[in-house]
Amino acid sequence: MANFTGKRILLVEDDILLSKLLSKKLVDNNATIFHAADGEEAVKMIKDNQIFDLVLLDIMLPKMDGFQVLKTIRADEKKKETVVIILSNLGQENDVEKGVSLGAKKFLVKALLSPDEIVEEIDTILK
Amino acid sequence: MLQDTIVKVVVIFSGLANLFLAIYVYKKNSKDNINKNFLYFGLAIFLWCLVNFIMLFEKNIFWFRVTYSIGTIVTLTGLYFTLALCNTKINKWLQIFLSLVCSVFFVLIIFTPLLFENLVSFTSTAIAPVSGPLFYIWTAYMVFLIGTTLSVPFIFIKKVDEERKKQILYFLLGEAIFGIWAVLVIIVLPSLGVNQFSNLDTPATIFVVGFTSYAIVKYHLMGIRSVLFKAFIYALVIIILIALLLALMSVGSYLFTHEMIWPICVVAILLSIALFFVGRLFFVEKRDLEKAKINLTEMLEQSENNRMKVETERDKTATIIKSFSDGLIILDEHDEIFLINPEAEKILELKINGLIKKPIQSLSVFSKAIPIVSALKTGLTNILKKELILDKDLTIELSVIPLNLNEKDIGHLIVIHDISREKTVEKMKTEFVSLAAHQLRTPISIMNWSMSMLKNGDFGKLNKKQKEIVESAFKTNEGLIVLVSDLLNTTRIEEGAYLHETTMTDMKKIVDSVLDNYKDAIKKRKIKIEYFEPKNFPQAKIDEKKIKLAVQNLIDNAIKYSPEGGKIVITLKNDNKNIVFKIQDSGIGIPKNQQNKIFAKFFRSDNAKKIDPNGSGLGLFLTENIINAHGGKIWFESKENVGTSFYFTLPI
Repeated sequence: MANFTGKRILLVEDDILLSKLLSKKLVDNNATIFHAADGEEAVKMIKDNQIFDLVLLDIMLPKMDGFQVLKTIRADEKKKETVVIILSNLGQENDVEKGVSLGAKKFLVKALLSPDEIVEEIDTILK
Repeated sequence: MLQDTIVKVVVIFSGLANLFLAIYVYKKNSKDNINKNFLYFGLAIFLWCLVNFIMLFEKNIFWFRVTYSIGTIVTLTGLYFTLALCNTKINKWLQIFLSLVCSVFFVLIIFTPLLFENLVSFTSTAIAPVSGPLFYIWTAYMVFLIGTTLSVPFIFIKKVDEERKKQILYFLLGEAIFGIWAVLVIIVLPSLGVNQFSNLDTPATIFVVGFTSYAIVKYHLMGIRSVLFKAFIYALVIIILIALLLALMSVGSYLFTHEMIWPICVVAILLSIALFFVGRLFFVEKRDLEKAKINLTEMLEQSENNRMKVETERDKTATIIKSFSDGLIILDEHDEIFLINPEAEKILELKINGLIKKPIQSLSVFSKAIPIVSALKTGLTNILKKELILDKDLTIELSVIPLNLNEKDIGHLIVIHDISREKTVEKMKTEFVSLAAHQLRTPISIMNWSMSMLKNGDFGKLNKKQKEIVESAFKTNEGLIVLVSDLLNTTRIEEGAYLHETTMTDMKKIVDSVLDNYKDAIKKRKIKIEYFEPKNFPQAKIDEKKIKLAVQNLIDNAIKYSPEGGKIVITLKNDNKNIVFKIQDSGIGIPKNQQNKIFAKFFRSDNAKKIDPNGSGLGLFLTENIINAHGGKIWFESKENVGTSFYFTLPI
């Protein structure tokens, strides 16, 4: 059981049920969860001087896709160091390559992992 | 009397034969001058024979005069025919003069006693005229005509070709015999007071018919070649023999009573013999040559026919090639362009002008042909259905087939098969599967996460029954996850986007981890696993995820298709060049008649379908692609109801 006490995690996910399930899992592990349902909202929240220890970023999002969100964060001097894990159902080599080249720490495929495994991955990164 | 009957038969037969011959020759080629003149001559002879025939019954001065008047015409037309045969013409005025004189004589003979006053009868058949004052002028005219007819050929014969010479000589021989015979019986003998044979002139026309016919058969006189005609000639020969017999009988019966005739007969016989030998001298000598010439002509005709047949066949082949739905380029034995069909022109957007007899490289001025020229750069080896992209919308299959004729190299056939349509359909299909799989992943993820959290008690502890149900739903969903992943991998292989990220990896770890994943299933089905691994196992440069998938597919199959309590033997070996993986099961095996399809996409053997109806048929397809992409090899040995061993190698 990981302990995310004091960690502020932004979950960028347009599917309500998926975000509810993952939020619960993370909150159960004492994390503080913030939620954005589209790319633009995510960028706004990151730029509003809020500090997140981790951003869990989906790719296929309304308004602005995940890659675009990553690019915008990387272009921002103050926010470019933000830790980002991509959590998407895309998983082709070129998607992974693109995500990693834009500075994502990890590229996780939702369908292939259970919430417990995702928590483990986050734990590894945050440690 | 027999002799009289024979005379009658010969006369009428000769007449009819001449008529037949004249019409036959004329119908064969009515435009030829020779044939036309022969018609006049033949018709005259026919009329002459007819009148003579009548006279055999009606022996009076009128019919006698008619025979002489027509006889004059026969002689004149004979001359004209001879002239035509020698390709020559006499002076126009002379011709008019001769014709005019002939007409005058014709009238005078029939209607006046100036030539023939009356008739004297000697025997029951032989009659003789009492000549009138103009008789000798007429005789001179006749001698002139006959003399010219016989001499003209000797003057002009040098100007005609060999075959025509033969034709003329045969005709002359016939005419000479007839002429001499006629002069003998109607002029020479009567002037010596022998009148008994004067009725034998007409039957002699059979010689003219006979020899002319022979010339026709043997030397194609007047352009005639006919088998039917030959039969006619043989009939004539028989008649001629009868005529000769008749002559001999007449002469013989007379000889016993008239001694004076002896010298004349001797001269006539000697003359005939001489004529016969002179004729032979001309004809026999070159008979073989003539035969050869005729054979040659026939051979030429035959070869002409064959040539036409070959040309027809060639045209047929050309039409087939031209209307072929694939593009075809034919290269000759020097590998120069021999033919480009319209479809090839269309596909490659070629302009054929100036390409024939040029090497294949000369096609590279046309942008769409460049990939083909590049593919053939290394030489015209045997290429079978090589896929080439000529344009973003144009994909072809290229085949190069060597053309051999009797083990001799006669060139190459380049087949250009347009597969753009199939490619488009395939692409659409791949895109559809990819889209569908991606869209499926979100609901699958939702189920995966929900069920995973439910069964792990994130939403409160479940009772045993609830947990059991959630777990089995979770498992089913996992199967769905694998299927979707397989489908996505397959579409990526087809898009050519199934990339491999290779790192130095421990193969043993991969096998261990897969076996670990399956430990529950192995335990549940009481399967005995034997795992042989060497010490100091080398690392290999492989794509870990993909090889793991390959190993997983093989182990999964081995477990799935083995009976409960079955045995699986896994062997990892290192032969210094390759890592060799072997997995042997005691399962259902692959039916022999389906073994060749086992790596095909979506293929599932009949016995496998019975055990697990839900498999996708993609596992071995993906496994083969993964191993091949690593430069390795995959194969199997299998026997139905005994078991299967799969092997693969990966280069170190």
